Amino acid sequence: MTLNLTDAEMAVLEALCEKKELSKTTLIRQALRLYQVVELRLDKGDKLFFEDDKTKDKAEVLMI
Amino acid sequence: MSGVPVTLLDEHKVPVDAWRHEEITEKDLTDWEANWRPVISDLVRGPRGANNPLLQSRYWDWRRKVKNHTTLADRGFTVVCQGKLQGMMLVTIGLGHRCHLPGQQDKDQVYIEYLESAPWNQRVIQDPPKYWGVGTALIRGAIDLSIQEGFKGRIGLLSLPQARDFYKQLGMIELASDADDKQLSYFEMSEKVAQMLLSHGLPGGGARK
Repeated sequence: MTLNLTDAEMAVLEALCEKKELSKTTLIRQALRLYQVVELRLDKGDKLFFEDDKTKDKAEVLMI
Repeated sequence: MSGVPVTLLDEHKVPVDAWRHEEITEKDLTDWEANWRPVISDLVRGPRGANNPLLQSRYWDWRRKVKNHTTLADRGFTVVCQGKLQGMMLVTIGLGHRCHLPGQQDKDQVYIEYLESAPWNQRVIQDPPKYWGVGTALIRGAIDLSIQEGFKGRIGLLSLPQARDFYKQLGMIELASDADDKQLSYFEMSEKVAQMLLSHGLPGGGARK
């Protein structure tokens, strides 16, 4: 499979790979797994939030 | 079904050939129901009853666990010896499970959700156990997967109290108690210890691979 990414997307991919010390293939696998899990939870009716660790404020991640 | 050959030790510490498989099949679940559960049920009905401190995983329903872990990030493992199920494990690959050990903080890991040896292999239930090394073989499976995924052998888990000594013996570091259940302890294995375990086996001896 050939992946066509923009320069900006490629830059993000490379930065994440460097940060997480993962190959591009492994990182994309991780991203796909995360996406699948998020989709499954959303399909069940769950919502995705980020929580501020200090204030405990929750902010919903809107998935459209 | 293909698998990885592993070596266990029988009750006389004689090496025995076994297999580690990277999936939990319907046959495995049937084996669990037919062979593990009756032994556990007998112990629950025994003199120490349902509060037997040796049966900390007695409520584990592997069929339900497998059904709830079917995403790309989930992997099941089994150890089978002489055609019979000896151990099972469910892991999550990454997905927000990050390390806490200094030197690998915030790095991804393979997280062991559940690991259980057959009751006849648990020393707290049967001593000597029928087979030694089932838990170690499963842990090595998790380490192998961690390396394949680029995580360099990093693994983590929450341990039941009865298993804490086992994980310490493997070289895992106990970091904290679970926030919701103080009886559970979080253990993590460093990259270095993972490599040593794969290269040299259990610290202080024990079944290899």
